[in-house]
Amino acid sequence: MVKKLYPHKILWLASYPKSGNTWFRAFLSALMNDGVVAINKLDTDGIISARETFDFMSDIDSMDLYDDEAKLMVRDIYSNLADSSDSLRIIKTHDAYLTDKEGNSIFPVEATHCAFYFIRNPLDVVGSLASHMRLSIEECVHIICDKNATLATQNNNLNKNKQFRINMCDWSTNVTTWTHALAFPVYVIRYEDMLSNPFETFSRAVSQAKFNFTPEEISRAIKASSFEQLKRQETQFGFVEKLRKDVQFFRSGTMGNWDKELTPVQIDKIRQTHGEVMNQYGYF
Amino acid sequence: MHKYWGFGLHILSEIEFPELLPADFEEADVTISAGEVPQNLTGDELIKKPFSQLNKDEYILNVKGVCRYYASHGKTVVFEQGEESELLSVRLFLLGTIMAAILFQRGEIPMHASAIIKDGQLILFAGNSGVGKSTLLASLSNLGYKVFSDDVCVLKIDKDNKVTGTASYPMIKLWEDTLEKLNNTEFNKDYKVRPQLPKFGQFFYQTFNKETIPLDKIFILSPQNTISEVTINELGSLAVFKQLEKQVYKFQLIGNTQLRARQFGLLSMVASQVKVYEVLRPARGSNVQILTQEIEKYL
Repeated sequence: MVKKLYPHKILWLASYPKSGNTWFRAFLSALMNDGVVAINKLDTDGIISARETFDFMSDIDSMDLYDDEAKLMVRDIYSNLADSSDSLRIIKTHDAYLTDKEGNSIFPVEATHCAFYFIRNPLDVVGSLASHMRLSIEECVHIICDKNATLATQNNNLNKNKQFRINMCDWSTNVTTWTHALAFPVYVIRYEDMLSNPFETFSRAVSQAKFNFTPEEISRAIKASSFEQLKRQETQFGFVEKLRKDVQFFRSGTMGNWDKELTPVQIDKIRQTHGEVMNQYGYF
Repeated sequence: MHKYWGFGLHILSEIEFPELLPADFEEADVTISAGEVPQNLTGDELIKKPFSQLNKDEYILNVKGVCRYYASHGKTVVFEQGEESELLSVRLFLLGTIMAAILFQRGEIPMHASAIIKDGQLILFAGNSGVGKSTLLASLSNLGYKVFSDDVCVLKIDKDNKVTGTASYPMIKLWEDTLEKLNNTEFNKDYKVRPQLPKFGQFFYQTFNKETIPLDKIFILSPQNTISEVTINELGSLAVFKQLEKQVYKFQLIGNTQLRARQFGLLSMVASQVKVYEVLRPARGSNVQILTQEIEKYL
């Protein structure tokens, strides 16, 4: 069991939403379970903003805490979670790599094995996000350009949703905060490479995580977690992680749809706001 | 010193607790006072977490920036208030986690459940924080059902080996948006549970029942992302036990084998005496009136 090789550590799967994070979790699940994956039972360990983990580890009813009070405790909660675990924890996040009000990262550096950061062309993210959140393209163009954008949004320092407020920021901030020389290795994976060159991309990730799997095992996991397989499971069983029952989480999974979904003005706004980072990753 | 009744206990406190029921007694079960909280615990079966420490008879909790607490031998609570916090917040966490620790130290099992009384028996609505226990309770109260307890209910076995419950204290905590949805003129926004929290205490001193009452049914509320309608299923005995274990309030504070055995015994009796239903409800966009109507069919 590969997780047992790295006890007391966390592998972070970080991304702006709709950028391949869930797909990669499905791949890892398939990899760690002999090529079998069930989307409603992914073999990873939840999301950093999960209230249940926090409440269990802190003993506190976190809905009675203010958001900034809870954020001050998150790092220690996850550090302790890693300490007390005899195997690697694989935890997802859509938060930008930010600090709490005392200036400390909410991610426990010393407990981190490494992080993967998933990146996708923001022009494609917009359509996917609009479908996921049942918002208009225009609203999602605004969100992706909003420096203060949050998920599980709770105003006025409140903290009462199923998850804590996720400070995802605008797309460029999400990317740059995770990719500017952190104190642990962060490996960037382009969604487009996962699509167009899966074997090489997933094999490289497996090697970067220092997991030992054969090329055959990797190929089998890629096949089991293919977009079509995940979509088929969602149609058949539903998907517990999607926001709304009537929306398909695994939508088209393609790249380059943006020129059919966005108006020239919307494309221009995203390029103007995010051009520099888009250019860095070959999206401009 | 102030004297109160809460969670079935006589509580003597240095600070006022408007949440609790004023009482008169000679000997206190629990005393609450300000004082110095130890930094560390020692002893057998010691569990250390980032903000708490637990051994068989003692418990320390640090609500960062708000208050540090020490609960000992089921009898004593000492608190050290943070410089920038206020007594309202000190009381809120004390009435939650710290009272759970005190009850466990006394060998009692608090369930994370609200409750009504119907035909002289208790009906519990259990579930994690945020599943809608208090909202459902307030909605049933709107329909004339008699409120017994909000959020926590302490289970006991009486002398005839029957499972019974005791209320926590005479206050329901409701979020502001819930108050607006319920539209009940008897509810108000006079008592905020924390200065920046739009959550308001609704007192029911007048109708509060501090008796120990037999248990009839338990409904476990479970929000689901994949469904669009409320579904209620009666659980089989194996599933009942598994589900009930998760409904014990702050079950992570059950740190010693003796208490674990006690919990096992109590929940086994609940499973054999009480009907337990799982209430699956849509996680989003669900309507409390519809939920109440569906549950009423089983009351």
